[in-house]
Amino acid sequence: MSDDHKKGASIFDDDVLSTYLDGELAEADMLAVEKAVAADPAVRARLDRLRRVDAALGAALRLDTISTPDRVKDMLRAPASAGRANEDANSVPVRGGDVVRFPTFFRMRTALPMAAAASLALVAGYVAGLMQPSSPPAPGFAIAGVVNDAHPLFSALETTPSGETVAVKGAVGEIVRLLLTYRTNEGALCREFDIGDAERSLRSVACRGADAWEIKIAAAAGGITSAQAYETASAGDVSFIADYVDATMDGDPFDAEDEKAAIRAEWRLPEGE
Amino acid sequence: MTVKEEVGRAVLLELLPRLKRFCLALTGREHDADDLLQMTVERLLSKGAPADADLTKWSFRVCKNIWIDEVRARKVRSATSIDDAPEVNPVDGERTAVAHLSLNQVRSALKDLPEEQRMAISLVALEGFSYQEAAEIMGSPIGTVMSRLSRARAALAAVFDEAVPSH
Repeated sequence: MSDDHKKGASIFDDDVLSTYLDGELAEADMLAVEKAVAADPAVRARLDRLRRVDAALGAALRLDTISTPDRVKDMLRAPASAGRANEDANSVPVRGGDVVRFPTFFRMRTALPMAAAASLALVAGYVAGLMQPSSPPAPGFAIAGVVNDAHPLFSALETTPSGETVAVKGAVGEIVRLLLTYRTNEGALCREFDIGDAERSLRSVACRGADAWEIKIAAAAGGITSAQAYETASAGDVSFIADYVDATMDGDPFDAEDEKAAIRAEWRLPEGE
Repeated sequence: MTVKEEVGRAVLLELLPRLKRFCLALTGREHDADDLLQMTVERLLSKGAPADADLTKWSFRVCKNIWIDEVRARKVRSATSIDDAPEVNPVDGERTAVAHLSLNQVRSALKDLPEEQRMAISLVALEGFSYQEAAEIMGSPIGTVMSRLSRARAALAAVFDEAVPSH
């Protein structure tokens, strides 16, 4: 990373000094900082100040003071009985066979925008499938990825706090579990949620437009077992959504209070609140 | 079981304290860190890693994804109780040799950083990953890692300046 954008910056700023500390400046810049540090006590003081941060962190989280629970160590020591039980718990573990299951998916994820587009197309089909058994897919959602107030999912997105699970009226045995609320870099309010049933589900992100929620991305997940359950199935798909959330989120997710305020305001929060 | 998997388990066992430390930096709480660690190991065991992946980096990445996906959602739900919970600290009261800050002061300052800064500084400053590696784990561009790291150090330095009376 040698970089043109660095050239304009003063070598005294925290960005450069921090990058210097990590030995990640281009060679010429490393030398320039070294000279400045030698020549100017003020620069040296600033560098030391940053260095002390690392030292304090290292001391507060010293590896030899970190304890790891036996239950986790045992999972790694005793292969035959570790982890979740499977059909063959007493015989030869079959996990080795899973090892190559998701590399292809991982490679796919590296091109996020393209993959995102592909997966949006996938939503249409998948959601239609979910809703199909005895009634036709709800118009709008399955096709356009827009959830307006006529759609059963709308009120779930509008009023359900993260962490809670609700049944979606008018759909076929479906439940929705809200996971997270956040604001995007562009100021939109978005929610990450699961929709589906115990067998299969879709993890999705919807963002609030003027009067509807727009589905931004979705991927197949393993099913919503209960409000408390952590999905361990479909890790590949699900982490794909996590990456999307990560890439679009501004700051931290909403805490319970912020979320309540957003719900009360019917998602019309001023930006930067 | 394959030989390869045997190696993976040994590597993971060795890696456990570092992974746990990352979990601590992410969650800020001993109990949540243990849960996150367990979920990470469960997922690694059930899903494996791509044959060409570096298991260390892969493990941190899986851990980060689980944190973002699952634990954070739970944390949002129980946000009110988090600050009230007593800090669990194996060496409570000890003060760092360097800055004369209590360990809890440092941990609490870390906890107050925005999540992505916390992640960047623990991957690079604590775990010694290069910017490139941290970028791969976080799924962010290198430049972003660099600036998060710099902001994290500046923010912590400011907190520490206040906490430590100059002498």
